[in-house]
Amino acid sequence: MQLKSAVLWGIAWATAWGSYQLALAPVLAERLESDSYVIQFGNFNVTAGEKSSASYKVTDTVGQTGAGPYGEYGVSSYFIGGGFQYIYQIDQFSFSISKLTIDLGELTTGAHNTDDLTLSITTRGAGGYAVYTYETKPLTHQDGSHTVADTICDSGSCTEAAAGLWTNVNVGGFGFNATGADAASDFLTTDHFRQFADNSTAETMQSIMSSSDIVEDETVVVTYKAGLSTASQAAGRYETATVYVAVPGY
Amino acid sequence: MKKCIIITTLVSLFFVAKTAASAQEVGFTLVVSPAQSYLKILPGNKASHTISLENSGTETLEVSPKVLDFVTDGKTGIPILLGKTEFAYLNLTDALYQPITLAPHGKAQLTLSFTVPPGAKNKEYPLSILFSAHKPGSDQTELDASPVTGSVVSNLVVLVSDESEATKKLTLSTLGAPRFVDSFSNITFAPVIKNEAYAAAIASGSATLYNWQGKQIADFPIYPDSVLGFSTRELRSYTTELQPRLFVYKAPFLLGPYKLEVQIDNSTEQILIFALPFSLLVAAGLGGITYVLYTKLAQSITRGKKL
Repeated sequence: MQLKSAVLWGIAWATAWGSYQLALAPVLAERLESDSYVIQFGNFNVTAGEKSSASYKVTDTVGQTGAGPYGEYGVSSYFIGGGFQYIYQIDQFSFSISKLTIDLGELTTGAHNTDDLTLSITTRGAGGYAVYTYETKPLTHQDGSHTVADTICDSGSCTEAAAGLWTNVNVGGFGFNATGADAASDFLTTDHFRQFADNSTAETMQSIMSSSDIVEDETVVVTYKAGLSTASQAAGRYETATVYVAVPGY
Repeated sequence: MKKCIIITTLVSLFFVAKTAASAQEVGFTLVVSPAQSYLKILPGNKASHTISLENSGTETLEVSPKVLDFVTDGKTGIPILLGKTEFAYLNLTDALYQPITLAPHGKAQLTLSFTVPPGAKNKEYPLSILFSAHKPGSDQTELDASPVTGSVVSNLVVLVSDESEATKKLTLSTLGAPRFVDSFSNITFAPVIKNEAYAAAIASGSATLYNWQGKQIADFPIYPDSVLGFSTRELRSYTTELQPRLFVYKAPFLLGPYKLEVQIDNSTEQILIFALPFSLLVAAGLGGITYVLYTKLAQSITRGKKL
């Protein structure tokens, strides 16, 4: 009888001790990666995914541990968004250009030719963004030897950093206008133009649109304009490459 | 009837052709994630950072990555890209030199790996990973059109530090507040914070306005913006919806002294702002001058008539 009780106590203690050890077992996390992939934000759960109907759209993750939020902005001194759903706090940055070629047609004296494209930005980061632009070289004729200088506008005062009014068709040159809510403030009207910063002469690229806030599909229309100054400039087709660089804030 | 059908068909074909021509105008959409990140590496350790790219446009793109340093503009959180990087702990793998081809709606990842030697100096390295995208084969420039290239950046701030928690040293550089305001205007201020430590820190604190009676009339919590090491940044407040906003106090009429107190971590700065009805005084002065000029003119006209 005593032996039987001792064995039973022994089993009970062993069970308790084993349970205790399992409870203290370290938690291990897996970083799923190989030479060709990395799985970001892996999550083991009961169910997850995107569900939608005509009247709603929801994403959920069910069964993860420690799902937040913890704390509250303006109330506690901290805020923790715990759980897979807070992936949406981790921002994406999206930049679109409506087309990848600009066609200014045949340039002649006494006329300005134009073409335009649309830039679009979406950022969830509260640091905002800026879009810079530059040209790789001056506007160059098909023959490779004639160029159209960057415009200096009607008053002779516009630069790559400051726009000026340019409406006189007898004033030739090459420049651009940017119009939109986030466009640089020196583009006072659609007739105010800047030069492109010329990368071939190491001019610094300039910001043409920016915001310090979160934006969604914020657009700016960039209008290119070119014209010949004098009859001594060769009429015909001219081209250059322009680059737009979208930079998120931090 | 026959003529009508032919004309209708021709007109329809015209519109279809026009629409088709417009549909051929395609562009570029590149999405990077994350837009910005912070990575801490202990000296003697390795680390990696992965950036995801997605081509959400309708054209196949060839994307070339490049790592650049950036500096702050001292005011906002917009980086100023430099033309190169001096960061010596980036492993120069093949991934950095091979263009990534992204089909429409295609995705790819770029993994950067870092190796920091033991004893490396505690320092912060603000980096921008620039992804330049263009259409494959567009190097042969079509001379009848000007090509357009788009580039997108993902920022990465790498902190090399052997400290478990980097020393935080945020101070107020300037309160950015006026000494005098008109009674009918708002009180607007823009404090600038300075990080005197080598590691980025998050701004926290509040700005409070008191009237001449010492009563608190406004309290602005400070938005938790990141201030990079050895740099400055203009502070922002935020709304109840956590949207950043400027520091603006609006009231229908301001009069007398107002005390502005800005508290950052453990330091506090104060300034007195005086609100006076300057615009009223100017209007009154203009009125008086106008009256004097008018009476003098009237007198000279009267004298002239008498003569």
